[in-house]
This record gives sequence, C-alpha cells and structure tokens, in this order.
Amino acid sequence: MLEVTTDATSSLHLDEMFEPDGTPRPAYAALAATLNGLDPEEIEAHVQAINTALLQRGVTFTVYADDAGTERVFPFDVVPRILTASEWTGIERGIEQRVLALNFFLQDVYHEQRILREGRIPREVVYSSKHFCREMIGVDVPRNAYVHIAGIDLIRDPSGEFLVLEDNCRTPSGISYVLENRDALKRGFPALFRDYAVRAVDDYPTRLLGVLRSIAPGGNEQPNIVLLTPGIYNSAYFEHTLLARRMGVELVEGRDLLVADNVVYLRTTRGLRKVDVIYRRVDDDYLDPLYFQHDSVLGVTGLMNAYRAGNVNLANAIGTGVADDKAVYRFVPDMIRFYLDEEPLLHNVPTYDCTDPAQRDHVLGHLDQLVVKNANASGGYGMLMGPFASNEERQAFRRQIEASPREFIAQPLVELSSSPTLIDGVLKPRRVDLRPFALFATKVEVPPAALTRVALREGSLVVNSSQGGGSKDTWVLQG
Amino acid sequence: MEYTIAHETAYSYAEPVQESYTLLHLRPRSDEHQFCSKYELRISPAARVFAYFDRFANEVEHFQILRAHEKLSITTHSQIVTLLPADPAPPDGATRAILDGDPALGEYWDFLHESAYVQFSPELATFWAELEGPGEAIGTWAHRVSAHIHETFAYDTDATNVRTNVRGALAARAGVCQDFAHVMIAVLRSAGIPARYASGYIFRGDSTILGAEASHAWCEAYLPPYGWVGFDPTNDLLINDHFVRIAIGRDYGDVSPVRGVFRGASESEMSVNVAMDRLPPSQQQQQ
Repeated sequence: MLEVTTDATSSLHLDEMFEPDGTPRPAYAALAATLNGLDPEEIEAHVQAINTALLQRGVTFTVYADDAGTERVFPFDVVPRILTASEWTGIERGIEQRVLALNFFLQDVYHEQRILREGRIPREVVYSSKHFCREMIGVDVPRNAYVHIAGIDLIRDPSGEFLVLEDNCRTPSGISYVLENRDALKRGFPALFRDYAVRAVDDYPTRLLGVLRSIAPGGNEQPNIVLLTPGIYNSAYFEHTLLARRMGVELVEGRDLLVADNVVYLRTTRGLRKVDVIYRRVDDDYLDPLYFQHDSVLGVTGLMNAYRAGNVNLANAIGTGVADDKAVYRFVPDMIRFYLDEEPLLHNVPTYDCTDPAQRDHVLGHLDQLVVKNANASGGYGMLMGPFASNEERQAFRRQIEASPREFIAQPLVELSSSPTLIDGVLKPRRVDLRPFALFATKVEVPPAALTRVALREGSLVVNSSQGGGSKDTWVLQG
Repeated sequence: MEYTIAHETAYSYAEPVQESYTLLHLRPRSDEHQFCSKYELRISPAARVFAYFDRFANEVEHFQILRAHEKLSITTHSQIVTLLPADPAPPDGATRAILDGDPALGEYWDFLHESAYVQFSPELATFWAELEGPGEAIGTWAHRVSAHIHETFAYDTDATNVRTNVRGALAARAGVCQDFAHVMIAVLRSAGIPARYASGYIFRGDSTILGAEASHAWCEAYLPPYGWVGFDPTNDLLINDHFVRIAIGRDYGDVSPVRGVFRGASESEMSVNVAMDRLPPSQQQQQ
C-alpha cells in the first residue's frame, strides 16, 4: 500500500496536503484516502506509461545549454495539487488586478509616460530595460490591450500566503501541460476524481480563441487568426501545435506569411489570404528583420509596418517584456496603486535593487543567503541559489553583479510550499509553484487552468522544467 | 534661403532579388528650422509608398517590391525654405545650472546614454583628457568641443564606413561627418548634456555640387534656454540657413536614409547623388 504521510521534520515550509500535525487538510482528506488504497507498483507502472505516451506524442521541452539534452518529457506526477474555491478566488482577484495594472503600465510607457513623469517609477528602470521597445512609442494597439496572455508565477510562503514570484508577459508557455496532465490523470486514475467537483480546464483554447477574435483590428467579427511558431526546434513547439489544433487556427512559420502594402497575408495553395490576428510565439527580437534582428529568418519582413498601420493585431503586443523585467517587478505594487488606486491583493517577494549602492553592498555581503536572478532571463537560467551554490559560483555572480548591476536582482530565499510527490514508489514532499494564466481583451479573466510545477530533486527550490522540474495536475474546486 | 534638392540612391544587384522591403528617412522635416514646400519621391521599379511619423517626428516612408528586380532607384526632389539666421549667435548663455533646473531634462534619457553607435568607451575617456571643462558655461564649452573635433580629426572618406561607431572613429581620429557627429554626441552625453544626431544637407556654395558630398550629418545639443542647438563639428559651424534637416535620432542607426531587407543572396552596388541648388531671390518671391 502507498503510504500517505508527511515528513514531520520538515516544518520550515507549508505542506499543501498536510496540516502541521500530520493529518490531511480538509480538501485533501478524500484524495489521501483514495491514494492510500492504491498499489505503489501499479501507480508507478501507470505513470511510466503516461510519461512514455507523452514522450511519443512529443509533449516535451528542450533543455538549452545542456550538451546531452535535447527533448525531455516534463515528468508528470500522479498526486494532484488542490486549490479550494476560496483560495482560487483570492488568486483570481489578485491576478485580475495585477494584469490590468500591467496593461495600463504598458499603455502608459509607450504613450504619455505619466508614471515616469510623476516619478513613481524611475525612468532609468524602464529605459534601461532590454525589452523596452522604442519602436512601440506612440503606436496604438486595439483596445489598448498589450498583454493578452499572461502567466503569473506564484509561490506559497510558510504562512500560506500566495506571493508573486514573477510575471510572464511575453510568450508564456505551459498551458499544454495543464491540458495534457488533466487528460492523463483522468484516463490513468479516474478513481482520484471520485469525491471531487473539479473545474474543467479543457475550455481554455476556446477562451483563448475568444480573446484573439475580440482583438481583431476594426472590430472584425470573423477575423482570420494564425498561430506563428518559430518552428519545430522551439522548446514549446508541441504547445503551438496543440493550441492551433484545438482552436482550429492555422499553425504557420514566418516564411508562410507575406506583407504586401501594409497587409499581412498567408501564402496558401489557393493564393494569398489576409491575416487579421497573429498569436505569435516568436520573441520580439525575431519578429521583423526590417526593425529588429536583421538576420532573423523566423519573422515576417514588414510586419511592424502592418502592425503600426493597424491592419493586423499581435498577441501579445510588441514590447510587453518591459513589464516582466525583473527590475520592473518591484514596482508592480506601485503600478496597482497608481493606475487602479487600489492596494495590491497579491504581494511581491521582497527584492533588492542592485543598482542602488547600499542594496548592492547588502546583496554582495549576503550572497550565501540570497537568490540572485538575471533581470531579463527566464526559465530558471542565469540564476544563483545562494545557500546551495559553491563558493566559485557565488564569486562568479559577484563579478557579474559588480560589472552590470542593472542586470541583476536579489531576493531572500522563500521556503515555498511542498506537495507530496511520488519518487521511486514513495511519496516525498517536493516544492511547488503555481502558474495561473490570465487572458485579457476587455477584462481580465483567469481560467481555472493553472500549472503546478514541482522541483523533483530533493531539497531543490527551483521548479523550472529546464532545471529538473516536473508538473502536477492542478485542481480548482467548484465553490 | 530657399533650396531645391535632388537626391538619388541607386542599387544594382548582381543577380535578381525579390520581396524587397525598404525604409526611408529622406523627406526633409517641416519644423521650427525649415519648411518643406514641395516633396516628391520616385521609386523604380514602381512601388506604392506608405509613410508614418516616428517617435522623433521624422516622416518615415516605406515600400515593398515583390517581383524580381535587378535595379532599384529611389529619387527625391524637395524644395525647402530655411528659417534659421545666416549667422546665429553662439549659445554662450547656456549654463549647467539652467540645464539642471530644466523640467524637460528627464525626458531626454535616450540622448544622455549610450546608443548603437555611441559608446562611453576607454577611447572616449582618453579623448576627454584633451578637453577642459565643461564647467558652468556649457554652451561655450560645447562650441569648443566642436572646434576641437574639427581641429584634431582628419576628414577622410576612406578611414571609416557607415558601420563605424564612436570607438572606431576615435581610434582612427578620422572619418566623415557621421563620425564627427557621433564623437561630439559621445562627448556631450558623457558630460551630462543631452545630444542627438541630425541628418540632412549642407549648402556649400552657389555652384551646384554633385555627388554625395552635400548629404550631411551633425550634432544637436540641448542647451536651455536656447533649446536644441546644432553644431557641425565637420566644418566647425553653428547650424545656420545653409543646413536642411531630414531627420533626428539617437545616432545614425535611427535615421539611416535607406534601409532594406530582400530575398536572394546577392552582391550589390550602391551609388548616391545629391544636387542642392539655391533658388534665386526673384523666384523665392514668387512662392
């Protein structure tokens, strides 16, 4: 029998499933009971089969900068992560507020720049951001919506409060795992769902399609939508194919599109077909060689002109990366106060600004206690986990911070919550985060389709897929 | 003064290219310095031209040619009235105190920092050793910087190319107007004075000048209470009624006259011809 218990010694962080006294939390009680009755070997065999199926179907990611690594499956864990209706409502409200403020911020920094003129955010922070796209200054976008799809990474601290770890406003990925994990768990372990009313995730593609339709230029109600992918070598290519298929839109690469007289067309066997909305999963830098990386072959020449002329819309807008720059992150609570006149519902993790000499000195003096992150990197790359790093790694970061302080921020190590995870037939506490996705056209919606990532290595606090993370089905319970 | 300007840029490709997309910064501005009363753009092969104003209020034109072509020519004809005086007074009243108290200063972040062509490099630090100041009288000082660059850099069309940045120009101590302008911009910015790049034309005399010589570039410094003041370090002049401005930007990269992307790997040859004529006063009165 599977032993569903908690490791009593680990009291520094919150356990999602168990109370401190070792009894299952109310929402988890039925699940714990069902799991208790399962045979570990049988579970292992099922999970193996699921992971093999995922690998065969290409539900994989690519580990960059890993010599051995090419395609890896994002390992699936059998124990779901549960969010009660009231927990979810808190998350939903907090993310609605945050994503709305991030959109106001983008509209502002590319137009009036009120928040800079009034000194609420130093101009330096915005203008020195790698992803602040000067070509977007003065460019109007439909409905003033910039971030149509956001992934907001949350962690849970020892008190049980959800904190925002980072915002992803460019081309956030991961929704395909949410959809696949639910399918896999339902097919492999239907018994687990027996006592639960879990909100469905499979209407996400329909909701995304609705957003893409409603942002078409000129309010066109029958827009032609395409999904632009960098191609098969991109780590999220599977997700691109899955979303295109489920939305019923064409999956295209840059070379399939053509700009003529400021209008974007799809080259088809029956001639050119006008394109109104592009859900693009190609980064800003590669979108248009006329304006950005001149040698890019992933983009579409002339796209920026068509976009500026208002003949095509892009999701997300160009230049949204300035909103998820990690040096801008610490100002998001101020954005919420400035644009919405509200107090933030979700709090940030305290963050040190390495451009401030006093804060930088503090960071350099406490590298063994802090987490240092590259301000513009994502995916867990360019990061120092101070307490676990070697002296050499810390010295390497010291030199980098001293050379380019703007490129780094530092945060105290947050003891994120754990969730029991099946490791070699035994349930072990492993740390988790949560990435809900927000959709925005006229109002922010947060579908109950969130990704839980789990750090599979013992003691690890890094959940990114590229850093040895796995994922769990995430249940948002009906109220 | 009133001028007519003809500006032709011609490309000839060794093999046909297709799907070419071109961005132009060629249309002279109409602003407080000048008024562009006539402007005509001709593209061969024929193309439909679109335009927009960029964030510096330059008018950017662009077009595409999808079918295969071996030649491309872009010709503009402009007529411009310049409104600046023939002999502008130097901005000697500009002081550091006035600049520091200027509410617009915060808006000029891009003109105070490094940009694609303008680096605050060790070469620049070395060059600084030759300059005294800036001290309080930053207007007088900026004028001296222009004169110093004019004196210590050789005008040499073979020393640099369009991709040469400030480091390269400082290393060569030579170059063309683009390099002189970039060096002055780097010096001013590193002294905390907003500086930007201006491209355009300079009228060199009453005889018609052929060739690319008339195409010009210079530096503008933000010196309140005067506002933006133009310096031409290539000729050690303050910008006067002999200058026609096409575009302003952080550096050459923002305002390159012709920029393009096409399909088909091909060698190309480019030629540029500019003819600038002053209209006789009688004709000016007819306008």
